[in-house]
Amino acid sequence: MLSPQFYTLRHERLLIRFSYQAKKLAPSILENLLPPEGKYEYAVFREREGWVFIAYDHEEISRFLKERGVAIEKIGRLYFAQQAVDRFERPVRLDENEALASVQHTATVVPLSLLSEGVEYQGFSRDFRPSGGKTFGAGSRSIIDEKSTWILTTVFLLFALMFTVEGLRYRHVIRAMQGRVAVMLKDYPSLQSAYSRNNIARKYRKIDKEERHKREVLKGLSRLMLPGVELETLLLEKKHFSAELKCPDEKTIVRLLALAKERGYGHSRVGSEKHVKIEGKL
Amino acid sequence: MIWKHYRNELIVLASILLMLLALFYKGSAVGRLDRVDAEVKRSMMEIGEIIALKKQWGDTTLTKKIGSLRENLSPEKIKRFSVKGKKLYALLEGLSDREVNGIILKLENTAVQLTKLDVRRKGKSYRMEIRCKW
Repeated sequence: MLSPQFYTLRHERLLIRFSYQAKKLAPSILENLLPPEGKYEYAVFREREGWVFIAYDHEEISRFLKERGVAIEKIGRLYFAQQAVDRFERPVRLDENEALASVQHTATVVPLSLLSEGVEYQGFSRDFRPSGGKTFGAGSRSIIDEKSTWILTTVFLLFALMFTVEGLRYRHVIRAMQGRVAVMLKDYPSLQSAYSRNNIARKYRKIDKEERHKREVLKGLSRLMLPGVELETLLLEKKHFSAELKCPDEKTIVRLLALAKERGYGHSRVGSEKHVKIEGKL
Repeated sequence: MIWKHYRNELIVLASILLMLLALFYKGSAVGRLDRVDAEVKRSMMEIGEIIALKKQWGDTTLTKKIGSLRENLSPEKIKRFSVKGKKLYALLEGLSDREVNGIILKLENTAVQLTKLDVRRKGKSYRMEIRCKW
């Protein structure tokens, strides 16, 4: 907390509503009170019915801190004694000669000799710290001001939270899906390993394919049994099938051969009789 | 400590990093969900298919069902009908064309693996040899 030696102060009753408006006016209001060679920064705050305008020299304060061996990075914020003026109704002793006290509602460094002998001093504590201060060492060179920092951080953290919650929800869905498969596999322990599952599937798919084909062939042959056609032989083995059919006339033979050709079966006439041999691979 | 001068940027940067980390976490969860979803669907389909195929081609009641082949056949036509384990060997003689048709139809509708089906005409009747397993 800066004592009044480090800042220049002016009270003004202005009809200004917002501090950013007051901040714009600060240089012109304090212009006449400041030595021209300084490089000033400004702070404003509302007090009772008016505004308090403060100018301070950043470099002067830094120099002072350096002299006292305090690294400026260690100072996060600057507060002005005027901000806590109500606390100085009872003076705070600064050293053997001076005290900080409220004089006509202005925080002022007062020589002890001017204070009455029986005055009670109070100690300085964290309770003196007012709500708003000026960023100093830490973050002093930041392009982003503090307000924007907190807004941006809040937005990004909200997004982070949203993404995390979504991620957790997806993980939950994954666990539920895996649980469903586990429940199903519980009833069929032999199918638990993907390897054995593949083997079993391959075995049954092969059987299914071959047997369906055999049945299709049998159905196909039955469709060749045109009116008057008689079955002489039918042989169905693992890899091969053949059938010998006896036809009533030449017309039926031609039709039968055409049907067999349509189905992709091998066909031939047997001997001089009206016999036709149909064959194929399975 | 120079970084302290840029505290605000560092705070914002840290929150961006945290957000990116969360985004990466979500992205990896989505990717994993897609993979697991495809895997689960494939597994479920595979398991369902295996169960259905097993039920069809590995039906334990087939040993009983296969006996229906000799239904409505007079005993003298059945020369041999032996079921050993999960295999059938049947030799039938003197069958009419209608009986041959009926037996072939039953075989078609029974989930057995036909290893041999031999039908031969003998005069006006048929001789039939059936070998199958299940």
